[in-house]
Amino acid sequence: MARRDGIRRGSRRSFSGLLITAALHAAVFWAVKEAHSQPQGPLIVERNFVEAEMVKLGKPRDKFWLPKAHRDPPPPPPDAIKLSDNPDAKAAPVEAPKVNDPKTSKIVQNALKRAAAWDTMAVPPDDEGLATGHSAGTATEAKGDPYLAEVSGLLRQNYNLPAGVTVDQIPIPPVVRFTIGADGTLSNIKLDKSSTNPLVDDACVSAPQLTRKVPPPPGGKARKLAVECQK
Amino acid sequence: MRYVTTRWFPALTLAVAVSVSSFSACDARAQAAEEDLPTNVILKDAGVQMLKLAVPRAEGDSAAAAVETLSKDMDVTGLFQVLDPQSFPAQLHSEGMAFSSALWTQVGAQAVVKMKASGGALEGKVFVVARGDTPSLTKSYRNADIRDSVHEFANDIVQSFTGRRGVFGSRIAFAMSGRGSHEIGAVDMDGGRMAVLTKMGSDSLLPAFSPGGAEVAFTSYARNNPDLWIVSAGGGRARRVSKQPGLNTGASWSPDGRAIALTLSHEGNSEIYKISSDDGRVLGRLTQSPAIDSSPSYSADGSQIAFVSNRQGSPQIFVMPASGGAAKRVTFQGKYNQTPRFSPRSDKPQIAFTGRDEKGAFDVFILDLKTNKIERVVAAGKGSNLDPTWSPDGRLLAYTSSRGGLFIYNPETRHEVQVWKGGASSPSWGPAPRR
Repeated sequence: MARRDGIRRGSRRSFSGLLITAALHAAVFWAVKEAHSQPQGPLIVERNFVEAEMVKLGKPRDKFWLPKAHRDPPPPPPDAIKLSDNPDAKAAPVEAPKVNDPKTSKIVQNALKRAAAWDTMAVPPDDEGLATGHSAGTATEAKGDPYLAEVSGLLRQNYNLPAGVTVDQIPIPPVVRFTIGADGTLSNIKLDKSSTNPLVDDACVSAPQLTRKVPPPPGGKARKLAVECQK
Repeated sequence: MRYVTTRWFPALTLAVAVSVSSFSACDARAQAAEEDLPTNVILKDAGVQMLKLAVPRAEGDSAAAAVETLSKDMDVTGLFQVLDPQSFPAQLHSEGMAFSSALWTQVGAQAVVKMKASGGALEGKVFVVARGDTPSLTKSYRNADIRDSVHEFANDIVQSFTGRRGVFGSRIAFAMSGRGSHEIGAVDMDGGRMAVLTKMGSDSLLPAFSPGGAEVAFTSYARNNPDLWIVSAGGGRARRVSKQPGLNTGASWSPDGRAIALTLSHEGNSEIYKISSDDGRVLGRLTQSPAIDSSPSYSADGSQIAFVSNRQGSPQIFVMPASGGAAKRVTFQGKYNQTPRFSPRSDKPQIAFTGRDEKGAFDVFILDLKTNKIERVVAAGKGSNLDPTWSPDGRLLAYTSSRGGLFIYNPETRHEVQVWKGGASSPSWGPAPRR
């Protein structure tokens, strides 16, 4: 009996609880829907800054490291040169002492004379020569042909003899002849003189063949060149 | 009128001749300006290029062994770039002993080797593509082993291209390293025909080929002391030649084979001595220094000995007269230089040695005694490379490496080949084979 009452009481309570839960859920859903239906503005987070306060800890800091108190600059001395307030004002000319000026002292006159003598003896500045220049050339006097030196340098990059070949295997240095076109293109490459060693000849002919192009000759005219290949 | 003509005729003739010659001169000058033929451009200081060599399929029952051996030989020289035979069209493989320069030009070959190998007999031809269809070398060889015939052919090929015969057939002795005791072994310079020369049952190290190539001197702890022993190059029973108390190490044969320079310490300090190669009798003490002196190496003419000494602080290479006396320091770079080996070429005085770089890695260096320039042999980052030994023609170097095995290097082309993959240390290159 008691058990049956319990069941009855329990069913009644369960029904009312179910109603309350449903009502609460409905209220939550309605609130969420309302909130989402409202136009959303930018999210503004209030920032409450913490105001820090400097506190003294331990040993006082050396005065050297502390910020200096601002002070006005000291007044100029009474005999200081007064600068012009006009920005367009011309600078005062500073005249160098002259030898013939009677105001110039004897010592300065002698010094100026000596300096003039040294000027005449001075060596002109020595400029660096070209890396492709003739070895016998100097800073003031060119030797050889700088253009040919440049061409020679480019050919040398492609001049490779077979490994193991010694100087005595090239008794006659081969000569290769070719034309440098107005645009620097190498053509008509021919072996002019054989070394009697076909591999050495091949290496000599390969140098212009692999180089293909060099800077255009000065004057813009095509020119022919004969190159001797040594070890 | 007749008088006038007669009188003016020579003058007129001269005028015409002058005008004609001046016209010719102008014409020649104009032609020269057009031709512009300076012949004063000279190319020097050529670079070095390995020759592109093709070794196509050979004929005969030993063809495969012949092609394999020759391809390896040519690679080991560092003079030739052996082209991959798989890149050749079938037409070139089936050419036989005939040759067509036009076809071989297309595969980029500069030279082609043709072989017919049956048993130990070999017929070989070398064609230079630029020379046409006529062989530049034709030779026949007959040996018990086809490898010997191929090595002889390889030596002739090297000679035909460089003027100096190759050294195939020479052997390299080394101390075997690995499990168990370290015996002395030897291989052909292409890494073939490995043979164990000793049966000491104890650590054996620092082998040194005699100048004739018949014997190998080495140090062994077989009698509980580092004594000097000599064994036949073909292996067998070793004989003890120097048994001084203490060190008997680092043997270097004099070029005449009668004496051996080595390190002895029986007088308390490690010094260089000269002993008889027959009975080990001490012929003289060559160094007198409170420092440690070791690793002697005779020069090609036997007049000088290079050795290592720490008499100025760190181990450095010194050179002294072969009879002893004032030593001259020759290495000044690096703080640890050792194992000097004089080049066998008297026309090119060089010393190869092991040096430790600033990162602590050991590497092989070559010191040119004429220019005092030092060249590092192997690029940094290829492990530690140790104990160089020159080939009998002075063109190649062999050394061991932390990468394992034995390597051969051509300093001219900077080409390196691993010829032996087993454990090896302190190699010694024997003499070139007799013809």
